[in-house]
Amino acid sequence: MDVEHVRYALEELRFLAEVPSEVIARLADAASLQRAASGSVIFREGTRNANLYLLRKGKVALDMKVPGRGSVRILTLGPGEMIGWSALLGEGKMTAGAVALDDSELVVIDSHGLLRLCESDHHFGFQIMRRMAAALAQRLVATRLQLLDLFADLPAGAAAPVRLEPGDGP
Amino acid sequence: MRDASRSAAAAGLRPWRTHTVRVREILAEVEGVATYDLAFRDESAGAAYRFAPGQFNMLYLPGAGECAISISEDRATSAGYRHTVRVAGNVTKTLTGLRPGDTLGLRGPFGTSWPITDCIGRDVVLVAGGIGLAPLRPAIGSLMRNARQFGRRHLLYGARSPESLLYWRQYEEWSQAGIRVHTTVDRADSRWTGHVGVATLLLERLDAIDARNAVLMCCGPEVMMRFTIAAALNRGFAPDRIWVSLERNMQCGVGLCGHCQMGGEFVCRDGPVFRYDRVAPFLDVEAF
Repeated sequence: MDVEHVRYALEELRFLAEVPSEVIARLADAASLQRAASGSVIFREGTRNANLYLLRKGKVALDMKVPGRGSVRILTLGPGEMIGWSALLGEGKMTAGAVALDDSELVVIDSHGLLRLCESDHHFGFQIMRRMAAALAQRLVATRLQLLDLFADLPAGAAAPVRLEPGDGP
Repeated sequence: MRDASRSAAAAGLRPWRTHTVRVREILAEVEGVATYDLAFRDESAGAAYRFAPGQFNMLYLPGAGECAISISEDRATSAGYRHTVRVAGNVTKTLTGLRPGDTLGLRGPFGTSWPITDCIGRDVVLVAGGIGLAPLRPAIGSLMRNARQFGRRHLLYGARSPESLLYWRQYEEWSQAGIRVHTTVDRADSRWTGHVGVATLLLERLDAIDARNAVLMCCGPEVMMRFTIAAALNRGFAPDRIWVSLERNMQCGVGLCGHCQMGGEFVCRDGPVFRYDRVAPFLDVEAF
């Protein structure tokens, strides 16, 4: 897999939209492409993983194991989205498991190499961390909306997502 | 904006007249939600009745009261008038006691409609959450029937769980008519192979769209709509091509009683379908 091919793959990703081309070129040096067949495990919850992934094609699910409930699906990710942030920002221990739901293609970036690049070139590091922060902020907001459980049945008298009736209000 | 509306008063109808309608059929949808197919007992009144996608009727049950319910399917696909109802209060709870053949009162239609004509020549994105898909279903019918008039058409629909996806039997039909149906749920176990996460994520991922010229119509919990609008603006949608359907305590249906007042607007008369830039100042005000 040549570096040009990887660079082209990175330029297509929404995650790196508007990132300067010289930053993408440097990122390509630390990246490679990987295919994941539908149903294959990319990494398991609780294991250590040194890679950050950017999903190029396909769909990947994040699952967490909950005692008594089994494997709970937390989130699905689509093209252009980041997977495995713990490799870069945490200690490399995965907080969820990732499994490909469709035949998928990922850009794989060695997190140690990426961190070294970030530390040696702060402009590069700022561009990468800014994208990471934006992606995680978006995911945090989405998680809050899930937490609100907006579609749950509410007791009569509470605001519900149907036309309110007389007698339902205060 | 009022050109999109077909309010009862504007149409020359008598908004206070309650028609007797008969329950033709009750379709169980998902837990706690059913669709009531209603036919006018007076056939001439039924023949004269017209509505536009997004409008609502006031349904009246003697002894229980009246409530505003969106018309959830258009006449091209239903012999009666369908209303999808989730139990939320006295009237809807009483409604669940009805059986086919029973009668109730109906007056309407009321309110403004989805801007279907504004969609001609443009990509269209419908974003629905939970039972918010019901007021959008007649718009889906319009987008299906005149498919060549429109650009790419997407439905982004979020529900609580795979079991609570409304109208799931129709997704295949909608897809075959060229509407790309994207569903997502808030929670699922690992057997579910569809999307998990909120509908705003689907909007952020949507690539086959000319956002700057597209029309977006949204209906669901207001918090969901606020974040959908933020995502849409971030994607480049124009504020005057984003439309939302709002929910308030609507009682008279014609902007007289004031129960549904929101700033200078009456949701029953000036809405429920509003262009976003018209109501944007009110959406972040807690009291409204």
